[in-house]
Amino acid sequence: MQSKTRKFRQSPSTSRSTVILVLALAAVLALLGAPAYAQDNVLVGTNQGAASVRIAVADFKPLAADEQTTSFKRTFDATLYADLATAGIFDIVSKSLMPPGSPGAPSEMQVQGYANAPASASFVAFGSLGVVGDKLVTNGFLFDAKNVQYPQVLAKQYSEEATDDSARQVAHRFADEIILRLGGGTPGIAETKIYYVKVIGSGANITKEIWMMDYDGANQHAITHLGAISLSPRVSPDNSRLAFSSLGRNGFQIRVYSLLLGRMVNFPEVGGTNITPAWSPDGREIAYSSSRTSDPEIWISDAGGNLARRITSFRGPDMSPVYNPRTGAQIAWISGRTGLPQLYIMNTDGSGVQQMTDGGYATSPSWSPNGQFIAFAWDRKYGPGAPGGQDIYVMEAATKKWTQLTFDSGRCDFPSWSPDTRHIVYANSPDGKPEHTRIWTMLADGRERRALTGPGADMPNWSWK
Amino acid sequence: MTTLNTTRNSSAANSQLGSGFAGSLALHGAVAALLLGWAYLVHSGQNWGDATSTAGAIQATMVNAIPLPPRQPTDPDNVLATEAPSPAPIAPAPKTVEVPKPDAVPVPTLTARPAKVADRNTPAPPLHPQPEKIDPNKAQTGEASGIRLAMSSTQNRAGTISVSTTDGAFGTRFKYYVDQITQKVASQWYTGMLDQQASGHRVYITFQVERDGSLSHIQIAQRSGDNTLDQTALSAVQHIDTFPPLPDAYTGTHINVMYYFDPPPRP
Repeated sequence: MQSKTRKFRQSPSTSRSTVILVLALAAVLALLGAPAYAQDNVLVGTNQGAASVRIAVADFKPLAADEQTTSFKRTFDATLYADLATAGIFDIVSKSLMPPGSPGAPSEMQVQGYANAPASASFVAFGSLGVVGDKLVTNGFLFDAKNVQYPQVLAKQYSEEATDDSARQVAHRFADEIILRLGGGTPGIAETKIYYVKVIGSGANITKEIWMMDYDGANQHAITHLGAISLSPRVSPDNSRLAFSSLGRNGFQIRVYSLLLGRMVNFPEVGGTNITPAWSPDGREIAYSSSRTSDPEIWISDAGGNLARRITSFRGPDMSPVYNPRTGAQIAWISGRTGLPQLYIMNTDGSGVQQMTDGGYATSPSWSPNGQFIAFAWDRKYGPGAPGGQDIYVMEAATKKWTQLTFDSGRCDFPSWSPDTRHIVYANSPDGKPEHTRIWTMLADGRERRALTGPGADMPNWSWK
Repeated sequence: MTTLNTTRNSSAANSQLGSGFAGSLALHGAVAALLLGWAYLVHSGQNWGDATSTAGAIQATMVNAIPLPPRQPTDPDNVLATEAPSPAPIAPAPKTVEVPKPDAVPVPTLTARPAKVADRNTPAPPLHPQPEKIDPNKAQTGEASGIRLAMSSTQNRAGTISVSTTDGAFGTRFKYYVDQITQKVASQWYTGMLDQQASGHRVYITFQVERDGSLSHIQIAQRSGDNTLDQTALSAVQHIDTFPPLPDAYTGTHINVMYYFDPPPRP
């Protein structure tokens, strides 16, 4: 099964690489008569295929030799390199292959040295940074190494307060600018956050709080201090509020934390168990699972928890709803109406129910931001002694064709898509024990897996932007 | 009599044992056949990894639609394209040096004779007039940009006005941006629905890219004669949400792009 899936996955790249990309272009400056409608004409053609962009990241030039600048420069260089290396669209040049020296300005840049072997880069990012007054001033440039006559693609200047954290944030912002320019117009994710559940303590004293971190695992810090069991954090599309379910006096209830106010905000408590909230892409509604009518069903309320309406009515548990982020008109959820939990999709008014999986044990769906795929955790052969385990799968919503992304690494659960549809973050426990669960990230085709946190982190949720 | 009896008894016991043994054999055989047949009937067509409607076959368009570059194809037979590490080369067995026998006569080695040296240098050949090298009559490609003809012209009372073309225009100045357009459209073109029998040539699609990278005015400028090619090419462009924002250094409001699709070569 494993080798077969791999083989199938290779076929598109083989077919694409066999056909040579034909490019022809011509340009006309049509300024005639109407300068207000200045425009250029471009003739472009292709058969098929696209190559990943090879990019070099030169070490930035320090504008001063003091210790502070050196420390910021080290943070900045490492962050920028890691951002571009993990973006998934670049073939990054190893630092050992690059020409010596660190150019700090366009006049010091010799792109030919980067375009030639062994660097063979198509693009080179470089610049300078230093502490001026009490500000960290960064000049970043992106040059097209293959275009000697007009190499400049991007020039940015950042002036931020001189802290190690702002050096990292500036590197993220510069990386996002590069990814936006070279990644086909999809904004980068270097400035996005991941919200997750931190398991503190063990046994009877266990508490689970909501924490957040940068997308690369840096800057991990707590958000809630409830001293309770809080599960499944979901951030609102505008990054202003955080919905999660928390165990209190009235059982599990949906609770909302305002990231702008820095405190809990009101969300009405109702009977039964209320878990797995999900924001609609316009931020006006929250869908969640509620057992106020004794059977867990999907309910939708407005963002304040009012005007709740039930949209499922079959016997059997319904939970883990997630909106289609592209349209907001569909919900994927997990239902146990036919026995073991399976993945279903329906319209937000409860019509048009489709069963997506027809076997095994499916949990935790996450709809991709472009609306095309649903990632979910699935134990395809569920039962005692059955082969395989719970792994992350991706299904194309229109065709129900799926592919397996993780293999033989223990129990994987809670996938969550990055805003650019290129990455998936998930929780993995090698031995199935919750205290050994760590948060991992991977590209959406299963490559380049790496852990973001230590043990005791679960249920990641990638912010919308 | 006793002997006869004994013989008869033993033969009867033998035949009883034989029939019991045969019955047991038949029963076991039947159970085994039942098990095998049941397993075959229940599991036929459900093998893991079969290309059934529910098993793990994946369509080529799926990975294509995730905006990631293609992965390099691997080939287990090709040591340069496989992910498995190459096996270490076999260490050569140490050579044994033959010990010469004590009474062996050494073979005389021939010493090379010294090369003959001419006592005079060879005179240089007389100088002839060399024929002039004529440049082949072919188009200059690669060395310099070709001659660009004016692409748009306007009729007025005085005659025809052609818009002059500067070679340092968009395609040259922002080549990286044109490459981005090329790659993005190419990655969205699904050739699975192309009519293999049709004889199309090349379809031209035109569209505008605004400053923020959004597309508009998508239309077929010149049909190819193959409707499937036209439609897949059109939907490839229509699939795209946005391109990167136009380069900061570009001053215009939008660019007009003409994009052509060649049908893939017939196998």
